[in-house]
Amino acid sequence: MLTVLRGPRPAPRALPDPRAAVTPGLAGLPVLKDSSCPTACSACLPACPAQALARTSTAVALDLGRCVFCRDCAAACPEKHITFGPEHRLASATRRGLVVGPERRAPPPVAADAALRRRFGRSLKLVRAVLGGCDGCDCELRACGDGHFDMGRWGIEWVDEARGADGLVVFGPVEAEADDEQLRRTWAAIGGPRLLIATGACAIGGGPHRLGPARARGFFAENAPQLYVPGCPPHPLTFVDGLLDLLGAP
Amino acid sequence: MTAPTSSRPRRSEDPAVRSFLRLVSPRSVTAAPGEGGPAPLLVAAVDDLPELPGDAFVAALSRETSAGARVLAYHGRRDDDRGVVLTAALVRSRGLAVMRGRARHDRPLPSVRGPLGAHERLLERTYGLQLAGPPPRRLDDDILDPRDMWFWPAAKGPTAQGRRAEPGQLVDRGPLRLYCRGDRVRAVELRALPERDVEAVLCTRPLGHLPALIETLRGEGSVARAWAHALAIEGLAGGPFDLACAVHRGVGLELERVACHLAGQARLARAIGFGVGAAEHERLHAVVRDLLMRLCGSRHGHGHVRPGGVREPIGAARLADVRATLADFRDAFAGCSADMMGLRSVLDRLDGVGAIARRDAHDLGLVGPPARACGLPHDLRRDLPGELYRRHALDVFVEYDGDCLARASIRAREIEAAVAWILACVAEAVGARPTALAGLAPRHLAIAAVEGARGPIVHLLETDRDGRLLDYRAQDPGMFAWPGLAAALRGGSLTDLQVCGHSFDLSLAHDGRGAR
Repeated sequence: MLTVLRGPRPAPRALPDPRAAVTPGLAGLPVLKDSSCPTACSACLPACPAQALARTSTAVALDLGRCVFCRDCAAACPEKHITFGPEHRLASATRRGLVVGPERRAPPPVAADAALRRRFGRSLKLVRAVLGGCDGCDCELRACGDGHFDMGRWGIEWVDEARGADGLVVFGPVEAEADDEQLRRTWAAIGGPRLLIATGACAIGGGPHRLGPARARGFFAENAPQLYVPGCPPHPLTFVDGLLDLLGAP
Repeated sequence: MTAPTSSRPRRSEDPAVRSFLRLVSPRSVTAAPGEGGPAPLLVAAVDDLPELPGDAFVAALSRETSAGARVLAYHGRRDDDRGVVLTAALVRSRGLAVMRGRARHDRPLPSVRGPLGAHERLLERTYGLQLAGPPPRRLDDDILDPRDMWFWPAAKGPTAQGRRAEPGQLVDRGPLRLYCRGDRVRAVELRALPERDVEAVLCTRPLGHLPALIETLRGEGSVARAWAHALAIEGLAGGPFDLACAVHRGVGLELERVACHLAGQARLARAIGFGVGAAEHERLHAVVRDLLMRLCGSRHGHGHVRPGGVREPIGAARLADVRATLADFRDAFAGCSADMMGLRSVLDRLDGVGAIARRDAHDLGLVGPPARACGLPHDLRRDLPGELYRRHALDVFVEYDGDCLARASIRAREIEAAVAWILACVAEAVGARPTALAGLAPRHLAIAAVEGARGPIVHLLETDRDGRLLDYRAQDPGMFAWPGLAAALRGGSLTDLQVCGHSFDLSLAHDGRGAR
């Protein structure tokens, strides 16, 4: 250990200010062109593996809560009306806010909640509910708390036990009754007031592997999340920014 | 001690190999264009493959494993009332080979166990097949005694007598159930948890949807899974081989390997309280993930590989970016790795912890870095190099101690080797272009294998007489790692649980369920 301490100083933080960080190269917020789609064209709809696209009267609407950001729709569009930009700020406080289209180009900014800021603004302990899936969300959420993205600088930390947590972060497909039961048990173990966050396409929209209409998801019908963080998996900065916006952090 | 083994596969001319290959269609082993040789892809017409009765199939499989063949996949497909069609993919010195058999529901199938134990447990669970023969050897029996069980009900909550949960207790972590006395782990059970059968969904979806679905299957390694899928689809569609495209995919795969290994090293460093090393590994992990994101738009490599080629070709700007980023990374990682692997306190904490002997590793069917840490030189990039790894060979490292230190050391060396490989050949990825694919060949079987960060990822596809997918099996190496972790913990200290878990790149916060 002394060898390490005597050695050269470690590299400075790669992200001195995550709030100002940009993500060049990321396939983030979809950019839907203003020009209207041809009336008979629906080439992008069958290309979407997550059924995230819907045809409106003049263009298409895209549900970020279902989108897996595979960009197959962009490749299928003959008019090149769909592209994916590098914007990573995609979180929304409402499920409806995740639908982008001609009326709404991006999810509305998450409004700060004064009550949440007063209670959790200095310290927030979150527990992750793992429901399976590809582990991508788990990897990115863990990265939020690592030495690089370091959300601990705002007092936000991961904990292992629900009893010591202030909030629950759900990711992975919620398909079976057992998943709902597990979520209810975990949610009940968190003493109120508490915070519920749904993360990733599987938890928000059912995921690309769902067989049809969601058979379970009763937990989300009983408890509406205060924050939705879309992505497959979401970029760590998407989660950090959305959460800080909700808490009203500078 | 570490020694790079030769990347050239061994040639064998023994009669057992020839007799086995006679069972296989002459069209079954498909080599990459060029000089030929072991390729990670096998395409065969189903009608050309002899279908052996269950007993004969298992006997032949047993003979082949005794003769040195390694079973990559052992899969079943329910075939109405006529039983289960069995398919085994084997790695021989000449390349991939396949065997087919049929098990009947009214007659038990002989079991082989040993390295095939994980496959057979999956067959039993998935298809309800009855396997005859001796039950799997319970390593717990010899060390478990009633005293270990005395107090375990107390672990559920104190009774009226205020009984405490010590010295013997039951600890549930993820899919593991640990029987402890004090802090000593006396026995470990691996519980079968419910799984979701998403592979059945894959056959019902349009072919164009599959890459995105495959990338979000269980386990880390989206690039490896997408590559295995693309290989199999291209094999069934008769797509041409393009070296630039293969190098492009290889660059993504090695970046993914580096990222996964760095994350594992960081978690291991944090588990032993080496915060400085953990923070630096995490920073480098973000650097590599961001580089992958600049190449394909996703930090997890989604979209890097598509059947028929690539979607985001590497141009001059991306080539310069890769070179500059990895040159900086190489220097930073060299210092970071030297700090961690050269520190006496780190070595003392990892040395001898969770050791698995080479023979046990073979019997457990370990794959990937945990197997190479036990002295088993299993690596598909060496065993089935194909055109890509024959032109750009990659050293395979092995360790012999089989403990946490060996596993950490293997990962550090593989990171260095992967970065060197990318820097050496990334220029050849320029110019990769997508090509249009024809429809899938009817009544064909394709087996594609790619060495991911945690071991081989095997995709097995079968088409029906109309050229539609009839069966899809996507095998993740995680199914072999959990039994390895259970064996590593047995007889050790409970305090080594996290360290051993991270050395196998398994998260105990996870309950072991995948999307399957």
